[in-house]
Amino acid sequence: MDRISAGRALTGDSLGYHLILVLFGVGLPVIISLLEFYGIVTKRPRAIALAHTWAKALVILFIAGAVSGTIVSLQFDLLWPKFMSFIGKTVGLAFALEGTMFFVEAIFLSVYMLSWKRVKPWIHWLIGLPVALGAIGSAVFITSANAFMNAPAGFKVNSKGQPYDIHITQEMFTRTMFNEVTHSILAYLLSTALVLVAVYAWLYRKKRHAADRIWMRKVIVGLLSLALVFAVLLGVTGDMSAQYLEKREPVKFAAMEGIEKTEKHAPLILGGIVSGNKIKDAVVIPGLLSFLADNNFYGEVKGLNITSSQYRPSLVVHYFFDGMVFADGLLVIVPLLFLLFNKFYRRWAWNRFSLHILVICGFLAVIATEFGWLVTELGRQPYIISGVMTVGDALTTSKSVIQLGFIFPTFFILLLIVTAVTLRKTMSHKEMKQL
Amino acid sequence: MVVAVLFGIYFVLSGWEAGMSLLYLWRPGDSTPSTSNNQPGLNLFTPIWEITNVFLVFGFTGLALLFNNVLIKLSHAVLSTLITGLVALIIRSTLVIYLFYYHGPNKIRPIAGKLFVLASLTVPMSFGLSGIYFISGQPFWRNSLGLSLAGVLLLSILSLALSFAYYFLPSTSSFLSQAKFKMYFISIAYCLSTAVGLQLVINRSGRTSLLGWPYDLFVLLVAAIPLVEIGLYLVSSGRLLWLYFSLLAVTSPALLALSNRPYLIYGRQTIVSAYGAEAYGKWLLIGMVALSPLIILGFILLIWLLITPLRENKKTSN
Repeated sequence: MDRISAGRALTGDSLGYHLILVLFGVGLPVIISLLEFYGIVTKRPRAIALAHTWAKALVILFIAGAVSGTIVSLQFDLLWPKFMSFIGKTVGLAFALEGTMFFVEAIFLSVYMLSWKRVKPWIHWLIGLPVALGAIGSAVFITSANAFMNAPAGFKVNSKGQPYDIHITQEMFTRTMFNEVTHSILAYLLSTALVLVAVYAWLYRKKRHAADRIWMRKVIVGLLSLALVFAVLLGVTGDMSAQYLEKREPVKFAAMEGIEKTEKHAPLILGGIVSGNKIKDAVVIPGLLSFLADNNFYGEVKGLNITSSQYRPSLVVHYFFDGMVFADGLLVIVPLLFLLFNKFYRRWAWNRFSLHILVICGFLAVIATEFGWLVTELGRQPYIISGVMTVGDALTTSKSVIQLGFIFPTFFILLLIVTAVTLRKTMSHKEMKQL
Repeated sequence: MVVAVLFGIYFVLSGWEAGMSLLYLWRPGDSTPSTSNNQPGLNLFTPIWEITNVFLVFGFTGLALLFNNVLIKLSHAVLSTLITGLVALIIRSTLVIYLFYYHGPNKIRPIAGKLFVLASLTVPMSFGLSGIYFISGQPFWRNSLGLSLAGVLLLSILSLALSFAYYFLPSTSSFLSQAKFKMYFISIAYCLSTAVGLQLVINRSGRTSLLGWPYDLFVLLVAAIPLVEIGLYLVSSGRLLWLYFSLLAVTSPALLALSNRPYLIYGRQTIVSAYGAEAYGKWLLIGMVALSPLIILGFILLIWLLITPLRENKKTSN
């Protein structure tokens, strides 16, 4: 393995692992806050107790997430010093504010957990708000830094490659940032809701008492209703993002859609096998991509040929994009069908087959979120900051990076297994019986 | 200075964590670890753990963003040292989840406890050893100054950890356990004050930035440990020595940074040339000031929630 591949693999592994925890770190505080609010307003102690159980799970995830976040943060500084040096001069404010919001989240999460049953319910709910605010705030700021990497703006570069004439607001608050932030946060909320649904669908199969089953149904239906809202909004923001990408990041868009040459009446390519610069054996629908990108069946869509071959991303991006779109489509259809069945054909909704589908949807939601970020990152390659700095230029000169490419993934897998096993115990029957 | 103080607070919290791990998971003198009568203290571990990591991220991100011109040099010089700490960080978090959330505090295996103590000491050591690069201009193993500072650092972290552990050691624990803890704690504290004296000799004989008044003050504060200890014992408050060690941990990085002026990395990069956040320094300050009331409120609530059960526990045990 060469140094660049090792650096890429190391950061990719760490971010891929961290993302699983991030999506819960953003989604759970919001859902817990909503549930606790609902429990207080409707005077349902069971809902408040459920919020407490989920908060315990959040703490475990936060411990693992804080560590992986610390490591990701330091890896950026150590492995990509030239990149961080550039980012530090331009959009460093986003990183600093992300750290500050993380600070707020961590302090108030500690206060939130320590104050259960020690302060009045309304005050406790209010203490939980900064946890959600901190989680969303840190996601907003770190995503704005990523948006800058995808579509840098608000500065000029001198002959030495150093930025000058920097306008921080133009760098941070762009249309790219708005698209990425809304789309990613909705994806986190959807994934969290569906993973919770998956947990309760799994547990539901084992519950035999009618009373347990009734309240579990309420939890699953409530979460699925929430998930459906998130999924529809995710679809809308996804469409907006794709249309914007076609204008602002045409190379990435071309890689996502597998379009090699610029053309009018561009086809939508579904599936297929990547072979060099082409995609073979795909389902091709003529003109549909032009319509989706431009609202016109004969609109022009730019292909990968607008840039030289050395600056093109791999067409592998197309796999991840199709996988993500397919999964997101299912994540709208399944909750909708389940809720309809629950309303009109209840027996169809609560059989083992349907419950297994819900469990699969939980996994699918996490995979789709991972695929979404893979599309964003791989679609920008070989650049780390689009059009400004390549990945190879940004990497450290230290040779230790090659060995590190193997060490971290091993330990991350160990941490993930321990976290998952412990979470399983937290959400066990014993906890449920206390509700 | 702010970055140095952030790292100082990180070291205090790390010392607290290491002390807690010593006390609850690997108590010298007791054949098996016991936590049953220390549950309130153990419950504090997770909140402190979260905040500790935040201070680490805050300190490092602050350094990386404000002084972004040194990152390339820093990355090349301390990558392997820091990576050791990061690996220890993952191991420690795996053990935190396993020991505190999965296994339950009463079923701890001694080997897991010892590994946890080792990881808890390795993490702050790795960050401290990387920090020596700023003072000596070379990785810590390259010269006598770096090696002597590394020795002082190890003794400092051990002293801090043991002083915390000694403070929280319940009065109901065995006489042997109490005596051993006290012996370890006092001997390491005395080694620290001696080591700093030796370190000063190394400074004077070599080419170093540590010759100004801030370093002299640091030496004075460390050398005063025996006197402070005797004073505290005379007023029957010997257990409060952790406060003095915490003060030392917070002030030491700042005093060392002051000694190092005008350099950020001795002999290689000045503070002025390392600074690279001109474009948004003002905005950063505005953002921090805007969020500070919320952070202060959070800290006040957290301290209140942490102290109340500890006080109740102390009252009950007395």
